[in-house]
Amino acid sequence: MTASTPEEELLEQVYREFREGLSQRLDTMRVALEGLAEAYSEESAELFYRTAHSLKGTAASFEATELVQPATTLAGIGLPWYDGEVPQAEEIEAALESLEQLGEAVQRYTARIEGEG
Amino acid sequence: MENAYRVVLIDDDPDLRKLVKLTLEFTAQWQVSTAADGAEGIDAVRNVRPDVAVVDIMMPDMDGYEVCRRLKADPETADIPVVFLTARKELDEAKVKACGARGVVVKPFEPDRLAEELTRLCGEEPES
Repeated sequence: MTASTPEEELLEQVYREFREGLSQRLDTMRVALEGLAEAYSEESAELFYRTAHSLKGTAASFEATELVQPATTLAGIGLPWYDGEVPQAEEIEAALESLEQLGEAVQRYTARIEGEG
Repeated sequence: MENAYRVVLIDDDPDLRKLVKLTLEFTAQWQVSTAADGAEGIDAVRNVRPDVAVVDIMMPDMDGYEVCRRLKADPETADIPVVFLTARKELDEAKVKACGARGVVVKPFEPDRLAEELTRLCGEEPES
């Protein structure tokens, strides 16, 4: 997006803040996941699921298509935990792998946007 | 409703709030107030008395269905249309109908068409 009007500049700033906030979202999920790997807590389960779920919808609205599938996968993994199920070790492993894929997707998305700019 | 709608947007995602607010302000010149959770949003609706409240469903502490129920239970806000902005997967049609919401805009929304979609929903009477 190349801004040429004040409105476009504001929108570009919102998109930039979304991109800059992605690492924080990844960190939030990683910390929650590490907590769940040690011991189940409702707080960690909720934080993990809500962060993934929120990113899924928000990424799509920001046309960050690369992020939608990995965020959807993470939300799908986290939903049973949010509903009270204690995660199994292999589920934590799967979530860590999906989180890694999301991180790679963030890099691809960022590179695409910077390439377009 | 007048052309320049007043909107209260209730969504816990700060990036989405900013995107929706700017989109509606730029594409339709609407006046948009935002709130980050249900309690704050209900207060905003009472204060602003918007033409429409746009509400996320999955939020911490109080979900969108409960926000809608409380708005509909309050005589001061009962007549204000509530539209959910939500992911299709979390949508429970029965709950949407039961709480009295006017309709649903599914994420991802098309920014250029959001105002048009909200206008269409608010121009229609809720299904009986």
